[in-house]
Amino acid sequence: MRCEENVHLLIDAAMLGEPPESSVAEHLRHCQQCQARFQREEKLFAAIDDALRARVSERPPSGFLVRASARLSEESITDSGANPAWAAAAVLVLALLALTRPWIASQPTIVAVTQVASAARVQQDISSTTSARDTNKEPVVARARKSNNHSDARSATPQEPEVLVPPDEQKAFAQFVERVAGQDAMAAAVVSHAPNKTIPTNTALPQVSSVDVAQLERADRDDSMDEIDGSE
Amino acid sequence: MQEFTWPGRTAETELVLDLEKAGLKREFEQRLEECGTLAFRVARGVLRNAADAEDVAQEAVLRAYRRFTRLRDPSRFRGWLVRITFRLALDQARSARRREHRETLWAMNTPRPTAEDIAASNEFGRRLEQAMESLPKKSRLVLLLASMDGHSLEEVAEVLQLPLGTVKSRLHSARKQLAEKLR
Repeated sequence: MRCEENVHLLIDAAMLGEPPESSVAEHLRHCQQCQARFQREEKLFAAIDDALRARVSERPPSGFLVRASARLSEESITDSGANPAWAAAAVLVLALLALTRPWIASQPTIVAVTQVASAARVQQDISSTTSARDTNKEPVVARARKSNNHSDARSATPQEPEVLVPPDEQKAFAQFVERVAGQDAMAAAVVSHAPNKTIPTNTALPQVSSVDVAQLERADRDDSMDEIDGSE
Repeated sequence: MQEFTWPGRTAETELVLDLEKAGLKREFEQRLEECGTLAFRVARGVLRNAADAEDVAQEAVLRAYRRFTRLRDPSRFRGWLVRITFRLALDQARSARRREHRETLWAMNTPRPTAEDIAASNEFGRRLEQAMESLPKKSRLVLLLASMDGHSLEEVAEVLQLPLGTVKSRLHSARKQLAEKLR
């Protein structure tokens, strides 16, 4: 067996830290040159392993975990905002909404309709505005307005309740509003919580005089947060 | 008249959310005790000094904390932490090299080191570092993890979520390349 034929087998054996296979071992017994080569390779791999092990087995400086924990208290888990692509997309959507809001407001499909919620009074034109809304295929947000505070339909504050109304339910919603306005017992039962529930929702019916029907904008924000959280 | 309150936005709910956050933090700190040293060692395997390695490991830990709700599975957490630490350490090493290069250019006129100086420096360590830098990143990470005391190849495969055969072949190839450069 010639020395050159053994080189790779020698290197592999040295690298794996195993004895060379029998034919190579037999050659090594008679060839001092290959013996020396094998020993050099063994030393080289041992030196590599030792140097790497020394480096990656170093203990962290004392107090490393304490310092890391201290830095955690300055931070918070903000998983939903972690993806910059989502954040950029959200900013873009908000910017588009802000830019298109005046145009949306000027569209004829956005109609100020009367009323919502509970013991409030419904203005008599609810039926006609509802039929106008039927032509709009997009979901809309019905926003209750407090009658004694606001006269402009678009001045409703974010604290006021918003109800997502799909296009095919707008008529039913208008009928419901009418029933509420008429102090209907069935409608009152719908807005009241069950007596054995302890959820501290406030079921006192706010005084409102009208309902804005507007294109959906705020209502999708919480939904998108749920999507991100649930994506993993 | 009372103000309208949305169901699910009550003070009780806020309290539950606060408690959940506190629970997450405790859970994370426990995970940090288990994996903090691993992060430091990965960084140390790439960087020349322990102080830089600690900075990088802490940055990686902070990033993991911010995304902890997605990384609660322990095996996933370890793998993610190892990878992010390795990436941050490579970035840090790259900028350190650039800084060093600038300083070397600036100090061109200073006296050259003598033969004794060179002999006294850790020549093998320097050459090993250069050889490591030339390895493919994937092989390098496998090599670092496999070099840690008590890390079997099966554990490396588990941490990196790789088949055992892939880990073995990357390790084999990395060691062979290192030896070729150091011969």
